[in-house]
Amino acid sequence: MRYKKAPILEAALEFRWQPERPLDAIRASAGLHAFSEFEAPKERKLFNATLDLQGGEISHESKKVGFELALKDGSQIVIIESDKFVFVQRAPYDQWQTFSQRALSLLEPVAASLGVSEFSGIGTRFVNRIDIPQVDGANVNTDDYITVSFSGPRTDKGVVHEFQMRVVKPTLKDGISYGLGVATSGSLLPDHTSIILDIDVFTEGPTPASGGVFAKVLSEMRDEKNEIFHSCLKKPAVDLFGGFEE
Amino acid sequence: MVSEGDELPNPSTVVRYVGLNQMEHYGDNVVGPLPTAFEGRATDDSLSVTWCEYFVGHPDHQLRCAIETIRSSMNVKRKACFCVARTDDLAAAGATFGRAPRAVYLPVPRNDAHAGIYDVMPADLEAITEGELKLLELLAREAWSRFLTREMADALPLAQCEKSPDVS
Amino acid sequence: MTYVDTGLLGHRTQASGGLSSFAHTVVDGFRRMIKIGQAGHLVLEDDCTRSRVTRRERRLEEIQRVISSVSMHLPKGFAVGLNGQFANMMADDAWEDDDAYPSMLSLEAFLLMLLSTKVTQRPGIGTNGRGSITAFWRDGENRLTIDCLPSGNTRWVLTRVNAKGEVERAAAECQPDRLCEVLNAYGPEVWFGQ
Repeated sequence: MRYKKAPILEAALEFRWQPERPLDAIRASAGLHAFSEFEAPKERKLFNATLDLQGGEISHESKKVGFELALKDGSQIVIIESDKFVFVQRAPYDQWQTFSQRALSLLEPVAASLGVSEFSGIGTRFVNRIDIPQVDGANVNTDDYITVSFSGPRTDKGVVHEFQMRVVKPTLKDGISYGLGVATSGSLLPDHTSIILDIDVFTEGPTPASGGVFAKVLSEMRDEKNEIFHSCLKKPAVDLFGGFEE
Repeated sequence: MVSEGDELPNPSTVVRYVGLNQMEHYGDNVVGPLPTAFEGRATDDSLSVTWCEYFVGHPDHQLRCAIETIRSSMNVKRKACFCVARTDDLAAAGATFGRAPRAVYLPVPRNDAHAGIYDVMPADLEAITEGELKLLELLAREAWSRFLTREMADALPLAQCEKSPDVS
Repeated sequence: MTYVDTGLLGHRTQASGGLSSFAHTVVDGFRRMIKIGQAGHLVLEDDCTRSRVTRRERRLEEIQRVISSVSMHLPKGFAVGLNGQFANMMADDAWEDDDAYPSMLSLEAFLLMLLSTKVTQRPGIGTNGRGSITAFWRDGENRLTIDCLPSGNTRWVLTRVNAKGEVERAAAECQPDRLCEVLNAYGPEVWFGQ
């Protein structure tokens, strides 16, 4: 099941490993048959520039770190670098099962080709944008839609026009933490205000790269992600998602 | 005898190169040109075309020669099309909206068969009027409705592409 | 009102061990951080960008990202279909080198047009070569062409066969949110669906 108007803009799954793998091995993994649907890999570079404030000299450095592949319609992106694999699904997002199966079907051959048997970190990030219609052009009271609210030193008049906040803390599950970003945002839709919910759930310890423990960790991360999302929302926000689609 | 700057004999046949993004197409099914195909460019004072009867021979030979001239004079994209019109049809469409389109022989480097259609483009591309929009639609729907894809053009008979003795 | 940049998105998670605050992230997963390095040195670090990406490819990515971000407000399948159409439109074998890339304001007008008219049938797309996005629909002899301009306006022209079999042509320029009203006289359901 999914919401008819699921607010997910982008969902990502990231798997990290140590030690770093050589670029040639990363290049070979980006050429695996699993990526035959994707456009040709594009090299990713890390750029550094250093400015000597006293001498006024600027030095540049660039380092090839991996490859990026995207479907022609831009809906899915894979990044493979010397120490990580990232799968990104852009909206429209279907459901966790489809998303995670797709990510794992691309990850598994890469992990096998690079000899990765353990992940040093796993993260999943869901960026949501809830588009709220303004009534008669009035500012939206975000307290009507989300449970995260501002509690400041003063009581002034009116509603909060804009805000942003971010927390990172452990969950109740051992080894799993989360980052939660909440902010108001502009909307492409006329006469709407948007609220961003950026949920980032991640492990803080090694996880086997396959098997039951791996599956259990992923499942727990998903549950945490869902729980955080729903606990942030009030009914008027959920009502904007148009109900469920079978 | 037609010389540079002269009006083309009426009727003449002219061809215009039109990129796929100015053709009405749904997937690979190309239906015909869009009105935008005949807006022209702000830097031009006439609509750029290639004159088929510049070349001798059967009309299909002449058309193929005009297309080959276009191909040799610019970077032609694989999915682009060649739209074909008769100058009397252009004149009739223009007259509907108070215009008097005329085709003038204007050879340019790498295209000796080049011509320009005057009094058919919008006066200001940033402020196209209602009448001009309707004219562009009429041109696309009727005067320029014949078009050739790359494959259709390649199926035309090849010819020597000799200049007509009626052109100076 | 200031806005958090929403172009970021989740190319990196906290598992990276780095900053993952979206407020620090800019469009295209391209993150720039300025930090004080060794004494007297300012270090500018541009997180990974891709080499050999053309301006055309980058504009296509921007377009696809924006369309994706409003997919939940479009009919099912629209966003993926449109993104495929834009990829074809801007592909090497179709894109004219002299044409200006579709402007982001044209894209905004295009999306507002789709949202305000509540179309259920995806249009064909093209460009006038000066930064517009041209949308078109056909039903037999009835054709509607809407050029979504870099000014944010739309310029439209239609051919419609009326109930008496007469051909009518109409054209105008208007804001995208006015289209629904101004096209209503011409039975736009033949193009837009019910």
